[in-house]
Amino acid sequence: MAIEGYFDSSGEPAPYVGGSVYLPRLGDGNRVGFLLDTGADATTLHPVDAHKLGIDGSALGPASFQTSGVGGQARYTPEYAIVSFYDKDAEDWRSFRIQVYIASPENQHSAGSLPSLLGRDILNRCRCTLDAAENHVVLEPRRT
Amino acid sequence: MSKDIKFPQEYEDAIASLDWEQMRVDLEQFGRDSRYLASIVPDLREQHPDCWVAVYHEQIVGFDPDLKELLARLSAQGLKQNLAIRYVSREPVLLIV
Repeated sequence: MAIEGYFDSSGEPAPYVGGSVYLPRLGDGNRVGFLLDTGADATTLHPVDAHKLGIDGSALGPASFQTSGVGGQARYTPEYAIVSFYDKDAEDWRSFRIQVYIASPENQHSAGSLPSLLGRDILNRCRCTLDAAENHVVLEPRRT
Repeated sequence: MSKDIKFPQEYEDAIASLDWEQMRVDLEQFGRDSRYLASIVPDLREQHPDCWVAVYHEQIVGFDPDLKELLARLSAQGLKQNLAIRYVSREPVLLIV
């Protein structure tokens, strides 16, 4: 199985993959472009995608997780999610049932324009091939 | 290493009722829209600097400095799902996450 992404070359080429995110507790779903981030412990949704998903801050629980990054500390709210990618070759979906971490509205300024991140909770379950020169981004999930 | 979380049955029921074929179609279009949006960023820096820009079916469907305003306007037009959106700064920003 192989999931294809792409390099966004609007700056230094950055690997992205598009997926479908569904939050079963809230009943909200949408398409999300994830930046592959081997530096992130967990998959995160930043404000642009939280807004697209129609997430109202009041519907979330308290922002109970404090995270650290190169930009400082921020608070996130965990939420059950199924994150799914389509494998064109296999003509099938590959889904991951995880907790995504949603940026708290109080982080709006610092996290406002950041893309959502595909973290190691998913990346460690895949073989990842990145080749910017060939615009080649491939995730091959391991069978579990 | 992370493994799948076991969801409550009601969540699994909700997941099973999703229209996966429509999601596949939407995701393919979203991929094309995202690539298109990335490809036009240099032009957008001049045309719509410091704005959020939304693309749907490989066309710019809106832009605004305020994301909430943009989404509210597009939602009123029936465009909420499957939009490719990004912030376009006047000058490139070094992203370190």
